[in-house]
Amino acid sequence: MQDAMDIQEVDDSTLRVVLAGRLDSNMVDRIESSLRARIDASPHHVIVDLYEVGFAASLAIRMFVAIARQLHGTGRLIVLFGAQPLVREVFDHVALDDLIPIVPEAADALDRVAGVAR
Amino acid sequence: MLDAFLDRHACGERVRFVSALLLEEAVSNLFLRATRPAERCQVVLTWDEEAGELSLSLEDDGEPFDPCHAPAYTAASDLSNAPDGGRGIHLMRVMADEMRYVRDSGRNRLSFRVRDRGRGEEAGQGARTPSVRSAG
Repeated sequence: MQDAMDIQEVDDSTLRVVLAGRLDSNMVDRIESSLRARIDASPHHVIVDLYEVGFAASLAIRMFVAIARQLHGTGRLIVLFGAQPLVREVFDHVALDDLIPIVPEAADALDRVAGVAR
Repeated sequence: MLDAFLDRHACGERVRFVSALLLEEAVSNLFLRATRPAERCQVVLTWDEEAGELSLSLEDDGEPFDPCHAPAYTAASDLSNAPDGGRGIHLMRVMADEMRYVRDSGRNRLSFRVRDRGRGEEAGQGARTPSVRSAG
């Protein structure tokens, strides 16, 4: 699984960020500033597709929390979905879902952002 | 290096994931916490075939730092009081089966054990209590 990031506009209110590979410090270093700049330049909610992410460390969690805080100020939401079991276990150990919604499927993520008043 | 070692011993998915996480967090921690960075860090991997257990240790010559005695992690209740970081040591504690720290001859030695649950123990079976110790 090669490290990669793709950003797609799902509709007029949602960006879908597709990540693949290992969310370690190297990958976070490579993607964080461009991802945050893209989110900053958009008025959209963000859903993050983690189906192809096989590894996530604390710096990836730090990045997601920073993005959540960045979006929160403008009434927007970030939702994570598709986490593999061991990645989900890491998120659960730090109670990440108290800060950021984590749902199983893309449809669930779209439902969550659709339910947020703007 | 780690992948090649784990391939050679046909280690399971969980050992692969946890050992990579421990190495990532421990090395990140070396750089993040140090006011005087270590000049040398040595990683030693040992596989115990009979026990189905990986031992991973890191030895560095940086300032003394005992992650086993770092303050306990407290999960934030919402974004307003959530720190961006500070989760790495907690993840090391809870994901390793054992974590030990010793300061010896001017070096930090941090070591972990990770059991391969695919060998002799069903994945996710029973409660697991990580062991965290320090000395030196």
